[in-house]
Amino acid sequence: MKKSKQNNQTALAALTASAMALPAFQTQAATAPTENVVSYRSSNYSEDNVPASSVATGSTDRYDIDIQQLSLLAPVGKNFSLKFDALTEKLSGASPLGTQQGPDGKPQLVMSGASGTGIKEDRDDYSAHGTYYGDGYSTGLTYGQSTENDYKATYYGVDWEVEFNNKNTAFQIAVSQSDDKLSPTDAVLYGRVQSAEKETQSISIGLSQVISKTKIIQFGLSATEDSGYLSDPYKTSDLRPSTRNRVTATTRYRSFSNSSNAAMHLDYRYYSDDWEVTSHTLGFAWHQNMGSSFVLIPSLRYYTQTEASFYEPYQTAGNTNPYYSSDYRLSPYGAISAGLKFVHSFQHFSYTASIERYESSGDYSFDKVAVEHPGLVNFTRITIGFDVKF
Amino acid sequence: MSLKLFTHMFKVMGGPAELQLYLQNNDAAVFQLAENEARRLENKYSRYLNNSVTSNINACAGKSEGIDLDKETAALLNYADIAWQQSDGLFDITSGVLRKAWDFKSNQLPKQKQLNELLKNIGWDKLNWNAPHLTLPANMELDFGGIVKEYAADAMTAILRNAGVQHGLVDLAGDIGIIGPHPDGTPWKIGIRNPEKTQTAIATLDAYNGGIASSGNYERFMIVNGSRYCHILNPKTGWPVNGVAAASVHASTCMVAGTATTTAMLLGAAKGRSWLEEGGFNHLLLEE
Repeated sequence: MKKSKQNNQTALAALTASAMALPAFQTQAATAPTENVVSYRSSNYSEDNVPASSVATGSTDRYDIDIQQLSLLAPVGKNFSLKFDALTEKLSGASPLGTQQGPDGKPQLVMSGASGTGIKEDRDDYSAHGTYYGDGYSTGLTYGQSTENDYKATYYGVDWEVEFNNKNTAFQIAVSQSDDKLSPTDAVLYGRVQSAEKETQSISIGLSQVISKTKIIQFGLSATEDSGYLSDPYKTSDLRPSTRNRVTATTRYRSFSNSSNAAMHLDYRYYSDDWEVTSHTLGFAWHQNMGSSFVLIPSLRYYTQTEASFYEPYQTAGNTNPYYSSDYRLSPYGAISAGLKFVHSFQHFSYTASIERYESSGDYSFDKVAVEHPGLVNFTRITIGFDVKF
Repeated sequence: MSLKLFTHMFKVMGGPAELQLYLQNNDAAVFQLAENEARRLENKYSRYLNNSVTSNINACAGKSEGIDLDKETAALLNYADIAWQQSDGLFDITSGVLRKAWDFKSNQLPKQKQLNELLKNIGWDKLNWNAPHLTLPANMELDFGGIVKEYAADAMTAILRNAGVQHGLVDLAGDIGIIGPHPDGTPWKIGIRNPEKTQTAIATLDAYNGGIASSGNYERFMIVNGSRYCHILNPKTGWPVNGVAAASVHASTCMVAGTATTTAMLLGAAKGRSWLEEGGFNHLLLEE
């Protein structure tokens, strides 16, 4: 029998943890939500303009997206909950159609549209998620649809979670599938594919382990296969393999400090695919409680990736690879983002505001980048929103 | 669908119990669920019933084979172990034998010799607890009196919540478990008893959830030769404590709140206050 007092834990934390082991606190369906929750978020995502020197033809504007999200979580009986999510995006601006070699030998962007006549597009996404809470486990089903004028995706999934070891350990497994249909606009005019299909299958497993009253670690692994038409129909000469196998491994660590009344979040993600893109993401966030109702969350993230095997800064005559893309998302680069979020909670209501600044560059890459893609994005995202429980 | 406040009163564990629940109609079955839980725990841990778990444990004192305990009792003993550690040995569920020396109706102090004899049979560290197996030295006793009423308030709160009640509270003679705030979101205003004028409140505490427990020198006491002797006894000396007139704690559960108020009373005013502060408890402490 342990007789020594554990000084690294407050009496409150020690007693509470012990009380939670009592049967009264172990009644089934304890994890099922008991309140309706309505959440609303409104975001503006705004990419910086491209410097005129990087543009060969077309607009220097880039995307500006307004995003509205509404979500409703409702308990149904004691053991079941339903969640509905709706998202609508209004996008305007221009995007790179391709690249060409510039006068100084560096790539320049061929942008869509002349200034003021850019792309305007809407996307709507609706999904429903039902969860059944059993004794020590939960299982859920998801169904959703995402619609644009030239793209439609239908997705569905099953997930299952079991808790054991006195709820200190949880194991999750999820499988999902997405069926996407593309119908590019002005296909005949520009010689784009008129219609195409794409399919994505994914499996993921996760393990969460409570290390102590104030520390938790989560591990995740996922494998995803995309197949079908994976090229970008709007990009010139873009031709990509018809399958892509992706794996990710994530580690998330959460630690709460009583003395500073704050939680530290440390995240690492490894990603690799058979197009030879490998990336690493390192995230840090500090959730500082101020009193009982305010939380301030500064965060920092670093990202670095290698290029796809068939990526070229611009098309050259001597290219022998059957595949080709000059999409900046397949180029080698690194990115740094910094954010600040604020949450103010009342008993049944909370509101939030956040700002994030993201900058990407060849210089931020972990590996040296010989030729930086001129289309790497920098953006600012501002979000406001509220949650109501009733 | 409008909710109305209904109350239900009954007697359990030697004191008054009151349920205040917001329901659509006066559903006797809901109140009965909670009352049954209180009676179940009263019967299971009563010192006065021959077949209770407490009696079975105490009957095996001095027997080398000991006793195997059920899951719930084992969790209570694990909790008692943590409480003993966190209070540096002051919160001790083996100290109940002191009642043999202290009769607060007699207005007479016990003899020190009698207390010395009883102190030999007190000390959580003297028994052998290896969950679920317990062996108890001869003449020792366990008394769940300092834990079970608070635990019952939490257990009733949990049962009512599982039955779909979202707004209400459970009050077992001052040990309070809160199911949720009033339907309009406003908190319960819990009156903290004035130790000098016990029918009035000295402060009110806003509570949306969790549990509240209070302890005071006014609850059971006697005055001998002008000195006040209250019912909270130090397990190391056998004598009543002084210094704290009343302590109230609001915690996530009534059980934790109850352990904290008792520990603060046992530590005395200055040490009790700093123990509550360092321990992170939301508290109110009044000195004598």
